[in-house]
Amino acid sequence: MKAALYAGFNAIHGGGGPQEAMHQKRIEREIMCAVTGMSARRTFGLAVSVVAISVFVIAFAVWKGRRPKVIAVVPETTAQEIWEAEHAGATEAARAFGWKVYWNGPSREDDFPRQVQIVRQAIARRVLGLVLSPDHDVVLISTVQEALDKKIPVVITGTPLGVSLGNGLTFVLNDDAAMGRMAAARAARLLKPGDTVAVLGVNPNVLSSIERANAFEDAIRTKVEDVRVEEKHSTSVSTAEAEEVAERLIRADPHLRVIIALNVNQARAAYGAVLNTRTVDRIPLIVCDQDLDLLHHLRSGRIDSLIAQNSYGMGYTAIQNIHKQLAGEAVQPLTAIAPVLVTRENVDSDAVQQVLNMDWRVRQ
Amino acid sequence: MKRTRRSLGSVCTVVIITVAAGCGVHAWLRWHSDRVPPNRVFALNGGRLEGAQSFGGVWEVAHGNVRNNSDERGAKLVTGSQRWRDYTLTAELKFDGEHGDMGVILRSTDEEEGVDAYNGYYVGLRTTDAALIIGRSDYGWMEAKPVPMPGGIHAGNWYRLVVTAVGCHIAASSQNLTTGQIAWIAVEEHPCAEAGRIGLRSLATGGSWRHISIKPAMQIDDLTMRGHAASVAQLEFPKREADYNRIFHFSSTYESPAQLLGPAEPQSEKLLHIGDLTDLPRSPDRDVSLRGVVTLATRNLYVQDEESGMLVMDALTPPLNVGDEVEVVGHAQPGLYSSVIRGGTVRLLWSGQPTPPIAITALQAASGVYDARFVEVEGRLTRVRQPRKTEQTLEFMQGGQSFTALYASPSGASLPPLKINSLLRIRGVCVLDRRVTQEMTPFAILLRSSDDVQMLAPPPWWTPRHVSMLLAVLLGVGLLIQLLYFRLKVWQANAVSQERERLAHDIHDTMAQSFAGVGYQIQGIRSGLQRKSYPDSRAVVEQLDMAYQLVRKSHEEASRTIATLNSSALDIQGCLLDSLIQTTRKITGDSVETDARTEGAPFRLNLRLANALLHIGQEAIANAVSHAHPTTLRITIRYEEPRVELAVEDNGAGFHYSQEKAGFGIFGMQKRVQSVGGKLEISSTPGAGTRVYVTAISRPSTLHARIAAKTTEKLHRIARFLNI
Repeated sequence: MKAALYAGFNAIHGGGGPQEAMHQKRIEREIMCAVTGMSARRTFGLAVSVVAISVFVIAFAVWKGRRPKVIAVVPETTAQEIWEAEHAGATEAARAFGWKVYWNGPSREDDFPRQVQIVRQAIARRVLGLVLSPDHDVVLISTVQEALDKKIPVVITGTPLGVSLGNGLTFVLNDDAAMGRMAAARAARLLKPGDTVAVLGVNPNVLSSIERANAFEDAIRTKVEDVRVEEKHSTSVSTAEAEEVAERLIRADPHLRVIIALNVNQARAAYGAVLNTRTVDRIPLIVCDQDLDLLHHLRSGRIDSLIAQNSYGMGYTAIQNIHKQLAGEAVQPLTAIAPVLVTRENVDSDAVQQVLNMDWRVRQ
Repeated sequence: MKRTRRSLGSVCTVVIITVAAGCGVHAWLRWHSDRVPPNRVFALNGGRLEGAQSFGGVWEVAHGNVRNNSDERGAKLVTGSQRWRDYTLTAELKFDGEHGDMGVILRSTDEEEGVDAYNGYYVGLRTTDAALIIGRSDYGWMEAKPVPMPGGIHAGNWYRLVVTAVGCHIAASSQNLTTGQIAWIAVEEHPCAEAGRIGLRSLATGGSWRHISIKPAMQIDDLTMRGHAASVAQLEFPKREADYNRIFHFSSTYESPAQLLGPAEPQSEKLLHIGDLTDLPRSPDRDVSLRGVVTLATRNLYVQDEESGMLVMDALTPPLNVGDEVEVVGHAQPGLYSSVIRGGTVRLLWSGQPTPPIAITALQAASGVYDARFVEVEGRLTRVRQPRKTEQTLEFMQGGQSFTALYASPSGASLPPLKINSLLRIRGVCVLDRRVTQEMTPFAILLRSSDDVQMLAPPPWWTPRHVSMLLAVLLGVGLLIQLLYFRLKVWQANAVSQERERLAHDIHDTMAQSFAGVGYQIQGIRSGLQRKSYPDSRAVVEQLDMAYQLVRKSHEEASRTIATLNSSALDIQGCLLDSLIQTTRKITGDSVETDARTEGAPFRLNLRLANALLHIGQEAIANAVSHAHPTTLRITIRYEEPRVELAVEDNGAGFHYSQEKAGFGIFGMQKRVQSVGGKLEISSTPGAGTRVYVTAISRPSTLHARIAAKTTEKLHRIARFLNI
């Protein structure tokens, strides 16, 4: 409207000259006042108010949209102490950077729908970074991709995810192959040629279990002649089901000399099975992954040995990876953290206790 | 009037301040009172704990008890205010099984679903080491050294927990209500969680709570409780595994649950899974032994393994919870989609964790693949029925498939109010059994608790009622806009009419009279020439001179009117006196001496008043010059905010002024003065000049005035553009 008035005015009066310009400015003021019905002072006041409100709105938007300095660490489950060590490691590393850790996970290790929900909530909160120990090697791919699309660096810990590395995604994994080889080395001391060794808990949905089993089988065949390896697959976390499988195996094969349990649930099931079949002394248990009750059984001599993931180290390294990524530094795409063999002899050593450190209440 | 308005303003100010202060005091009192919990026993209204919110678990109220029918780790039911600070919480609890934890939460905030997903304290009984425990949860768990519970902790026994939290001290006692044995524990933590809600929590077991009450606590309460405890402990376990292993006493029951329950039933050679049952011959019935996890225990017993589910009927069953791992031995009856085990026994093997639901569509559920399994389905609610007092039926539609959800509560608890057409997510056991579906829908979902119904989206807003309301509102707004538009148009028309009236007065007073005089002169000349009454041409010339004088005068009048029109009210709003001086010069040139002055401190006049004063001043100057032939004009403007006075005085001929004889010019001035609420005084004496005096109050411009001024401005601008 204003432009149209100018155009009409110029068409009649023409333009040019300083006086004309001043006149035009005066007319402009007149038109502004006539159109808005406001004086110059009031217009100025309004302009100041608009600017002040705009500044307030922008400041509020910035405040609301600010990214909290929180790293989400989502373990496979919060029901096992193995992951408390990751919590402790992540918290210790985050403290150095002034970050806080949001720690939550499903209450059982196959509840991937709940894990997806937790991760998505963390993404919605626009966390600085995400550390995830996936419950399934495929289901969480889309969720992780969603985080990466939003420029949230993601570190996968524990078991790998079936997705290519890079673009903000790094892996800090347990060295599952080393775990399998450690189990084989320990089992080789207990086996004779012709004996059977059972491997419980091979889960096609969890890549780490397959890698552990393969590494164990490869290693044990080189160490013990004519050894028979009995692999039992299971996608269930039901201890009762696993216990039944183990019991039947013990009863069916008199040459069974060692049981390798590839995770905590299978370890508990195998433990129950040897108790039920009164074969505690005859069939030593070598278990992968740690929990407080298993370590208690190890201390009491009912479990031969336990190969612990260094989940403390994984949590610590994962946070450092995120810091490097946010700082634009180069990050090693794949870091394998060596597991630790825990026996009655070394369980109280500082090296082992550091791996089992569960002190997540580091003062932040 | 002015005093009345000021008084009104003062009263309004006082009222506003009083109301604001009252609100502030009320808010402070409310905030302060919220920090102190009420002294009360929690009511179990409508089958729910008063104001409670659940985070996991299968909660219900039955027989005056709050129950969790699930073994879920860290299931919580939370209620109360986040600002409650110092209080004593009392509750009695009973374990369903021999494993797990049960207790109460206090000072809780930031709750989520998860084992330790809350920020607060937990005080409970733990069966695995038969101890009373206190710990801090902050999305992680840290506890004080557990205190053994004398006599142990056993399923079926009631225990009373009393917990007092004052400042950063928390103390608790646990009493076996059968034997009377008591354990005491006390901790302190700095800094601590200072305030929060209360709740019930269980881990890896189901159980019941009753007689839940709360009351404010004082220092003396804390001291009394602490006096019974052996020591005041710190929260320091399990930081190191080695330390924890030394203080944690794994009970024998924890070591071999299945072994303690006795040898298993004779087992078949081949390990059977539940899904294998449908492949068995239909007759005769075959005895089988199967293991699985309980998915529903309240209505019928449903058990499932990794791939399939089944119904267990008429079996000897111990108290079971969702998540329990059991062994079922009985007669298998293969079904079309799933099987039924009849008779026999059910053995509890482990307290497990409830199986997560499988998210499926209604079409997948209807296919039968998921019969007797724990699933999650979304659907739009079409109807809610209550065939019996203890049962509710929800009817759904999704993707062309209709289905029902059945909720049965022995205590008569009902689902929360649900709106038809809401999009809901429901969890439960999928059943295709025709006795359940009554052949009305392909399948039904058996709900475990009211928490199995989750609202995803309320009904869409475009219901016929909402659309009608929206249309009505739009119509109302449209009518209002139209009304305002017409009102503005009327204001504008009034303003234009007023300006036209003023112009008519001006033209009548000046040019119209002159033109009439010219007409008379020309008519006289014409008549004289026709009658040949002029003796010579001198008389004609004299009359033509007179006509010429009248035309010249008319031209001058027109110039004055145009000069008046050219003045912009906006221009003179800040410099009225200058405008009047310019007007005088335009009309008189330098023939009249002008004495113009301003008295007082000038202030900005409102647009309407400035416009009126300008025109009154111009009219007075024009009248003086036209009729009085003065040699001196004195123009005075006196400012005394908000009052302004204008005086135009001349030393001309003067006249006998009377209201009745006033012409259009004076009448126009009077109308202008009236329009701004001012006062006009004219005093004149023949031979002694004339004084025109105006006084008025400057008030903020009204919308109407602004429109009138705007219209005037437009007329002025048009006059300028036409260069007249």
